[in-house]
Amino acid sequence: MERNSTTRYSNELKTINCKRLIPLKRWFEYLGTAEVRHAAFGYALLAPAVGVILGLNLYPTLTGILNSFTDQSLLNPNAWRFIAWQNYQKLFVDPVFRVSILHSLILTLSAVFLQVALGLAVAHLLVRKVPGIHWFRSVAMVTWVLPIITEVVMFRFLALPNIGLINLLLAAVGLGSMARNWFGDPSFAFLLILVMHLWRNVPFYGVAFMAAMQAIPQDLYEAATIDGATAWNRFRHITLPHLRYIILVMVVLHITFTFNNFDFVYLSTGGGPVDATEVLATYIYKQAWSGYMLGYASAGGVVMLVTLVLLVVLSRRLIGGFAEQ
Amino acid sequence: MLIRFPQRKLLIAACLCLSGGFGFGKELELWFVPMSQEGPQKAGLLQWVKENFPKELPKGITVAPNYGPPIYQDAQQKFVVQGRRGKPDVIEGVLEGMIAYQKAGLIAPIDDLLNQWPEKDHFIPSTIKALTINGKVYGVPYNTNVRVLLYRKDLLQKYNLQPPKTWEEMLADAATISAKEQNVAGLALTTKAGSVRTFQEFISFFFQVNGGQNPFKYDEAAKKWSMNTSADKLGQVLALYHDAFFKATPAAVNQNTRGNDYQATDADYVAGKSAMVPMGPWIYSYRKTGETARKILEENTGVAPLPLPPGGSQATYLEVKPIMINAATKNKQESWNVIKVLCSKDFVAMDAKLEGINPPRQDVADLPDFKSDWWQQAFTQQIATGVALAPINWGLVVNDITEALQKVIYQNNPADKVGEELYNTLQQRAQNNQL
Repeated sequence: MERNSTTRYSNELKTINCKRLIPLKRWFEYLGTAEVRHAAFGYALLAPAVGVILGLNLYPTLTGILNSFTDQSLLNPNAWRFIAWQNYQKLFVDPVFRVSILHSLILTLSAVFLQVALGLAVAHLLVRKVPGIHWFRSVAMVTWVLPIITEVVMFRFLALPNIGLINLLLAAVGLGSMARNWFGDPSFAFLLILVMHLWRNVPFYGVAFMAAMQAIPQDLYEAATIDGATAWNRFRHITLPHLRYIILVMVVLHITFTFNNFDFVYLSTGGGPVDATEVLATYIYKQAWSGYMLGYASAGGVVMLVTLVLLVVLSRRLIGGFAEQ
Repeated sequence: MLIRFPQRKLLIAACLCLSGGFGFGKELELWFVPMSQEGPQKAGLLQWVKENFPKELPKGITVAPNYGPPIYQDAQQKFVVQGRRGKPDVIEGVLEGMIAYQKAGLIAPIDDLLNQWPEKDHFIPSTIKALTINGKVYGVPYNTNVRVLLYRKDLLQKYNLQPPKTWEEMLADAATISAKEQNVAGLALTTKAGSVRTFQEFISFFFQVNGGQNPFKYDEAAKKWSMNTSADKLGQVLALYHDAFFKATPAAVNQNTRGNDYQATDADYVAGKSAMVPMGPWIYSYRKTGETARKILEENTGVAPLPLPPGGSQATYLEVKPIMINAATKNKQESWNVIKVLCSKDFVAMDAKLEGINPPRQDVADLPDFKSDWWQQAFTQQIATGVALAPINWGLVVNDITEALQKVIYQNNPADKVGEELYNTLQQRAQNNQL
């Protein structure tokens, strides 16, 4: 009965001529209907989440974009001038910025690619029923739960020139001439940053892929084996398609994580030696907190945001297309 | 019997007044990095904070038992962002941080309060001068130190060497030790990109070349900073680093230590891996970390002024740690009372002993404990040659200098060319008002 009256009011309001004044009473009657009450309850439930997103994500993002067109300084934030595109022009003529954007892209793409490849290999090991595998599954996640600072300090001590374990081991096997300050060597510092990313994330990929692999029906593999499919074909045509969604999630998450990551580089090398490990996050940080140039740093942040969105869209397209196949 | 409504309201109001105004006094917020740090080296200070600090404060003042971030960089960033709300009331920091706060108008000048304090004259003038910007004092020092050359007496003696007096002697002696002593580098330098220690070592050598002057001077007429050095002088310091890593074979400084930060420099010296190192007094606290470190520091270490370049003047980087008052605090007088406790003779003496650093107060330096302490005396003698940093924003300059230094020691670029590039970069920063 009430449903019928709601529909009646709704239809009446839809067909009403806009030029005609709607009687106020009719509006109140409409607002009191179950349809409106139902919708209002939904919006009320959504409101806190929308408020948080607007307050914590959208507002800072928009403020950052607006700041990027000003010469605002952190030391005197109220005195700023609109300088249009000057910050962006300065950014793109700065060779260190160009190097840092290149490093960020190389690090992100290589780290994510290697994490997926090695994660699949680890997952294959983890699903096998071999002695001790349960114990291994339990400890595999330790690298992922360790705080990043702990990991970086550990690697830094391992790589110290005179008393680091890596150099001591090299000396012990007669390769003492190879000993060096690994984080201080332009040829190895970037590689070590990549290794730290892999060390932290590969076990996490492995466990996530293992969980998805365990959900694949075994009879598919049995049928394929009977049909003469090789191990590679079983992986290519059964395992990989079943893992496509988890791969998509992991890739998108880790593109964001790696591209935004600041801690590994800043804590281990500070961007050096000679900018060999400078990435966008550390470059922007230095502009904001060493030079207090908030406007300029915001311009860097906007470029970072745009690049990151492009990377995520591209990866979704690539892996999404593969998923459709 | 129940209290009737109006009386109950009055009673609550009275209680609130008493607790706020009289009962608990004013609670101030203090950020003091060493008080937030942990570890065996901080145990003595933390014990004092827990047991004595509340008793030392004047009646009616308490300090919240949360002393801010445990790292100077974090404290600096947070204070720049939130300082304008008036909290913390009192902040301890490093000189570079104080300069940034003054530029941002975040700290209050304290000349009026300092001038009325009878203990003012006990402070070593150079340490107060370091905290003076545009004729106004912005902080009271509680801790100071300078960079000197530490050397291994036993190793120099072994090879009939004297503590070096010139850069040339330093490099030659270091190369001799590197060549003759297995697994020991003659000299150690900190060269990590962006590292404050890298900068502090560089600027110590630079002050010697530049006649004890900062690389920038304020041009009153133009109302901006301008260069107070030349590309040649910057190149001369960069050439020292180049020669240290490349002039001799084996080099004076182990090439594999390029990019080292302070942890490695300190650890290498106390582990016996280097024979000479530019250093501050804090390293003495390492003697508690093991027998090797204790023996090296207590028995085999000598302290000398930093060696000089040709025609150079005796100068070194002066580090001063000030305690400041937030310009937006509503409790300026109470904040000053807290500063008086933390810069008092007793506290400065205790802190200098615990941390192994030098007291900025002459009356503390004259105490028998300090007079008979060879380590304290060796450093205190050099304080007069200390040069404080000019009141500019050093953040970007630190990056520029450490980057130039790395270009020389990694890419083996000619020091004069890199010196010229560095000069141009710094000049551009001055012209663009980025200092």
